Amino acid sequence: MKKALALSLLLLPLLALCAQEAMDPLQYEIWVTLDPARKMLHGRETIRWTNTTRDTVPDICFHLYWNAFKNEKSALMTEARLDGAQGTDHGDADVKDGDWGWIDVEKIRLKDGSDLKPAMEFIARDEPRHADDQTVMRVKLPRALAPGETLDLELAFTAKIPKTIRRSGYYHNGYFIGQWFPKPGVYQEGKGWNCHQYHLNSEFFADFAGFRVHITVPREYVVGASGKETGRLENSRNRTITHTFEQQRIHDFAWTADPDYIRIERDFIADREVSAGEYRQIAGTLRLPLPEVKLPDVKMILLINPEHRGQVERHFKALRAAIKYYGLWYGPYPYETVTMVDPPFRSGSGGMEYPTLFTAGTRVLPSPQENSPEMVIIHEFGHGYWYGLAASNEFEEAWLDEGINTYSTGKVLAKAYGPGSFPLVLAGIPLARYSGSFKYSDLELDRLAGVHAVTLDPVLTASWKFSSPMSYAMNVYMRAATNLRTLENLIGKEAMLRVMRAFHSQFRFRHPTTRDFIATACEVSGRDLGWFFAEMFQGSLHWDYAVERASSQRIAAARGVFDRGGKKVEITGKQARALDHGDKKPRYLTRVRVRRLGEARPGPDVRLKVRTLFADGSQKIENWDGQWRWIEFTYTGMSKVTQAQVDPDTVFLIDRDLSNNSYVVKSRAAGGLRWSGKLLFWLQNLLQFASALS
Amino acid sequence: MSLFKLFSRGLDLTLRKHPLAFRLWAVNFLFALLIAAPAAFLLIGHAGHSLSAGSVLNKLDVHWLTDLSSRFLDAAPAVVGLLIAAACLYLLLAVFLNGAIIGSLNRPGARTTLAGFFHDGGLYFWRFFRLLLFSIPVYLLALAIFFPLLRILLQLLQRRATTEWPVLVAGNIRILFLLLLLGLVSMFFDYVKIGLATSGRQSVLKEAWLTLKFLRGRFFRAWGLYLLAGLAFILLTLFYLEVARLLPKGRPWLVLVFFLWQQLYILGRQASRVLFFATELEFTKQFRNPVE
Repeated sequence: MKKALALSLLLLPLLALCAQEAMDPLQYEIWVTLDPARKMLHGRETIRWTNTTRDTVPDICFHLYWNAFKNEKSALMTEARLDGAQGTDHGDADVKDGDWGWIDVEKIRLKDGSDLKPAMEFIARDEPRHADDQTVMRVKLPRALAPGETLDLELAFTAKIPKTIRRSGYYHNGYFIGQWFPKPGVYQEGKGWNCHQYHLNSEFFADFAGFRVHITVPREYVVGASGKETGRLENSRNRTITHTFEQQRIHDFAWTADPDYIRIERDFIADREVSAGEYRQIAGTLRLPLPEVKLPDVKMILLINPEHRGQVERHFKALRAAIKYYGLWYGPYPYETVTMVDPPFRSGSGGMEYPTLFTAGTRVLPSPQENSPEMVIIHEFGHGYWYGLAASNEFEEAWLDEGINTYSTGKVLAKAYGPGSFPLVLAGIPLARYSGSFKYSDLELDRLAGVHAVTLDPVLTASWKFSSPMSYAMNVYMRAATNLRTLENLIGKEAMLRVMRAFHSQFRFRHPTTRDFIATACEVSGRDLGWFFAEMFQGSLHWDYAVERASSQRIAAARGVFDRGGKKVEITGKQARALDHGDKKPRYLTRVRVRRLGEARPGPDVRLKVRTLFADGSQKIENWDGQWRWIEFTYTGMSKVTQAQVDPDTVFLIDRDLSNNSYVVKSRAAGGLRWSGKLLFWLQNLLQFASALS
Repeated sequence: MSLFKLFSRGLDLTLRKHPLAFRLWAVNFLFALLIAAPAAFLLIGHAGHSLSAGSVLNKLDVHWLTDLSSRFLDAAPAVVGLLIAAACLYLLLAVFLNGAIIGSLNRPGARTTLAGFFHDGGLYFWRFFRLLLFSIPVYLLALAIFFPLLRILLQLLQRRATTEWPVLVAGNIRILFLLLLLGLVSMFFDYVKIGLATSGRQSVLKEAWLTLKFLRGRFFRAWGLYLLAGLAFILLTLFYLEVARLLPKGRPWLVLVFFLWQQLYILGRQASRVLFFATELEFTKQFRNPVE
């Protein structure tokens, strides 16, 4: 079994690579010019799409994401208005007059010159329907495309750049251009085009492709983009520069331009970052040969705003940690470059991922104790793996990238930085001197949000169908991450690492689904984990086990009539008390009752550990299947119980209330008193402030 | 007389009448204890039998906060309501205490008796309560007129900002202005209270008008003195924070020491409250004609 597993881990990446090399169905070449005066993009695009399925395809569907910002009737704007999302950090529905964005496909034709524009129509298939949404365009082909055939299209488009709205836009001279070009959806065999509208709570889904993009901007602009810059041509006639970027095997392309960017390049030199011991250790854990875990060198490019110049080293340190640990755990980073963008001020594009490029985000006065901007750098780089390489459908199963990546971010942060501290900030100024005592780990914060999200929606809900943006965020990020931590505790750290590595290797450059993840987890761990995913990801029931009571009672001499030597002997109360009094080694009956307070239950092969400690230092361990509402364990012995604990190793981190997992017989008021003292102090201060009005 | 001299006289008066600060601390402590007691029982009950937070040395951990919030989140509106009600009650109590403080400070001699303290609180309560009612619209007016004006000005600066700095600076200016504005109104009503106590006048509106006239020519000196007393409070807070930062916390008895330090700080806050009134009283005695 172990050999087979090792072999499969070894072969999976190779197989996946071989299978996918031939399957990337798209090639793009795009020419785009930025018109800063009118905030417009003018573009031309050639697309070669190959039908790699066994279906005959009659049409092609495109995402025109920027039409979400065209008017208040788009799906995104309607959802934002209904959810009251105006004024959030992404801007959402709070669009001022004149700040709208849109994209027009002015020309679309086949390579032979056939005009397809008359065959263009906007479609809105998602429920609830937003009929006026124009973010998905369908083009009926004059002739259906047979399996293996290739479609060559030429498009011309014009786009108005929105002002500071969800992940894209401009502010002043800074531009962040994401989801900007007509992009085909993903054709799924037997199902047709997977091409959802742009929703408030959703991100993206696209096919792997080769990109060659020529970006023309005024020459004073500093440009960063997905992929590697392969050319730069100065056009002296109109004082512009055309930058050419190329990258194979990515599924999106974003770029940014700002004359104020400071561009800094550094190298991630793997041999300097990872020791031989670390390679050996990870190879051993993953049961892979050493060369399989070796990391390549990567060119790191930082575009940073001048006011954040002092944070350059913080940015690179975090990125190095991310490249190292994501690479060691999930597989080497496969591209030559990664571009980290400190996004332009008010461009609304911070904390977002694109293949080989991501945006971070920081403040002019960051707290030295807080893991920010480190957390966002690690998280967004991590999306290069979970979304970038294992390209799940963010519309339908957002947890597969956000949840897994939140889980991974927490682990990298813990490894590279340790716990963070809540910053004490007064009017935007961190009071570093007086903060730092309240430490936290990402794991704890994820649980805080996760347990409160359980009953809102199942994690496995389509992004736009969550009951609220809050439920979406808490479920797909924090609850999913907490569930994965629980899974890690359940199957063991090393097995979990092998699950994640196998899953990533198998689905690198592919589109994995939840079903694939479950299958990998079951196969690699050798356990049937179906119940876990049904309960934690498809369910919305609380998990909560508690020790209801733990007590010991002296076993007293029994009163009544007893048969002794053929005679009836009565032991009276007085005699029983005398017997008890004379007993120098009293025995105790201990009862420990554990209760299931939540509705969620473990699977058939899982046992909840119940540990009971006695005054003489001895302990009893029981295993309970956790199915019935309660169970009582009884023990007789010479010692009294001191404490009992269900799930003492905190395997089930998703437990709604961990404090009721333990029961200490002798109540200890000290801890409660201490917090009451703190509460009293804060109340005294609060009252003092209130009295200022008198 | 210089501001520093006046401040020093106010400080001297505060020290001489030091029992006042102790009494204020006791009232504040008992009142807060009354509100905190149910929460304390809840906390002790919740943590007492659990390993999560039973130890006096356990640091605040997010897991425990999660557990608490899971159990008591639904009670949050009730807690907020309770806190607002408590703050309103304390405000009334503070009206009484203001009378007691000013009356005691204004009494000749170093001794302040408890009977005198309560007598003065009762004596001025109704006048100060009416003043409180009168002050509320003035506070609201100040916030509704001056604060939005500044906000509009700062928004112009913020809207044109091309980096984060102007936004940060504007935000700080706004907070500073808000504090100064509230301080200004608060200072004015302090002088009205002192005027009511020293003149024995019953009419709050008349006293407010006379105080306005009194402060008109001496505004900057009065304001400077107020800021000096405010500075004393800020220094006190910084001193508390510095010591709190340095105090070791690894032993149960040190937790008690820390609690005592916190209470000393609250005592200091009460003393600083007395100091405000004492300096303002000295200022009034120095510059205000008793018949004004």
